[in-house]
Amino acid sequence: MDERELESFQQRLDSAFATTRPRRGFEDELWSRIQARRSFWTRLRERAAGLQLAPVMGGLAALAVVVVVGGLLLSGPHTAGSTTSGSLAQPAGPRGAAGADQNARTFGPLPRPALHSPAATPPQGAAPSTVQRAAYAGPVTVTAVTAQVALPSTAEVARYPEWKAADADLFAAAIGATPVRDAAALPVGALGAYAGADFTMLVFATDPALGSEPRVVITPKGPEPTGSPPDDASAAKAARDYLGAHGVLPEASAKGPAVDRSGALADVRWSRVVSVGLTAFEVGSGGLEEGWEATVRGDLTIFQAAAPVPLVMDFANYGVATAQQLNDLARSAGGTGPQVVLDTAQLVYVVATDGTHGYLEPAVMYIGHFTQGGVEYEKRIIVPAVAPQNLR
Amino acid sequence: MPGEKPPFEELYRDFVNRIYAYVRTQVGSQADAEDVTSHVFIKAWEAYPRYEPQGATPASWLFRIARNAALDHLRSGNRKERLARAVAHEPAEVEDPSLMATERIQYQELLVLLERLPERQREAISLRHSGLSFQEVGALLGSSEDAAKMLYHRALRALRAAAAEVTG
Repeated sequence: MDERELESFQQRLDSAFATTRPRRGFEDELWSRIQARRSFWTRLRERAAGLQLAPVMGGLAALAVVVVVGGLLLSGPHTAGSTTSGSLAQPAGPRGAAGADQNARTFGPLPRPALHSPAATPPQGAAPSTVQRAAYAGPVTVTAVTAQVALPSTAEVARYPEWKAADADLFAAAIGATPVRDAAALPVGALGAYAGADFTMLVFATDPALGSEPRVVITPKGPEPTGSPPDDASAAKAARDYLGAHGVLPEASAKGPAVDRSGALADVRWSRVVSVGLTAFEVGSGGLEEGWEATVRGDLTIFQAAAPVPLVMDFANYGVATAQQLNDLARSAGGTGPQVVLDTAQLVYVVATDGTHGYLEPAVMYIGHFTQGGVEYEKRIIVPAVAPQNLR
Repeated sequence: MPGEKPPFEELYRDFVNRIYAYVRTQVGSQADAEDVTSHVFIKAWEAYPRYEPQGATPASWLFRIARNAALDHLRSGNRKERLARAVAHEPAEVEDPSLMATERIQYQELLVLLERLPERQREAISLRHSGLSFQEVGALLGSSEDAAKMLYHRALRALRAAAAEVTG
């Protein structure tokens, strides 16, 4: 066989491979399925990687669940005390009240939450034309802070014992799941991987970089979603039932459910709203809210669920930063990048950890917008509300 | 190019067809190829935060996942039986006339011929014609670039000879 003949045969092969394509629609269907998983993993991955949120995520981020601080904060000012946050209907958590320090007046200097880690690069080019507003994780130049939050002189801080692998094992056992993998094979930050009769579950520890408290991600066995999503009411009921059956029922005081349909799935989310004089939400380090979430197929089976684990908490009051201190922090937190005026502010709670305990600490989240490449971006900057002298 | 980490969607759009084509040559049927391709990209999506572009090009990273997924798929069943079933029955199940034409004219013949090659030769052909460099093919097959070239050319000649036998 001469070289020319061989070359011709190579071209036939090239052509054969180049024309071998999946059926029409497969590419977009698969991308939709990946997107369906994205709602759960975005917080765990993209924010950790410091990536600018892809413009397509803007809508999802805006619809994300608002998770709240422990229900005890509703009861007004506390000195130190302890209780269990989360639904009272869920199975016994791995730690009892003995895990909390009931005598402490304060917890001492608090760990500083990792509130902002601007990505190295500003947005490049224009986002897809379908996107109206995108979350932005990169640096900005704060030109003015025009919003303020009227804070009390003190605010509560909640503390919980950090979960260890043994705690995750106990929680899993309580819902009938057993360990399935060695620790060496676990995803980063996971305390354990488990399997129940019809689901697998990962339990994650507090992640200070993400600003997320311990949580579970549950993946039921079942086919990939196809067809139409369920109606809102049916999806919400299926999601609530499933979360409740797995020890992470949304609290009765939760706001929601909010239902977002995407492809063949309905994404159901709850916010745990509390009031400490002001409404406060728990957000991750990137300013995105966290909480209970389940995606539901059209046949009302669950595709995936994620939720905070039940935690034992105790509480203490701390002095808060002055308005000027907060303003200065916000102005200096943005870095250098597109110019932004922070014209919205709200009290939030954020997670910090010292390795032994996790903390929910008050903070102020400022929001501003800028336009670049024809796309409006939203920038969130979070600064600690605890007085600087109370932080390590 | 090593060192750059594109958005995952960009990677997905660039590679989904190439990965599918490669997988298709390994698993035989359209349905299985779709299943395996789905598995590849869901796995890639979950692993992407840990992917270090300095260590491997996006192509070699994705094709490594694809190769492992295809091998896992084949281990899960009797490959020859599945392949024979796919070759025997699939054309009648293909609804898209243009796809059917492609299957008949180019792909199905190639599938049968590739099946007759030793596994490493089949992989060398499939990976190379999926757009990988010889260096990337060698890395995936655990050999040097030169060894990958030699393997590929042996495979190419063997495949061409097989095609000549079929066509007379």
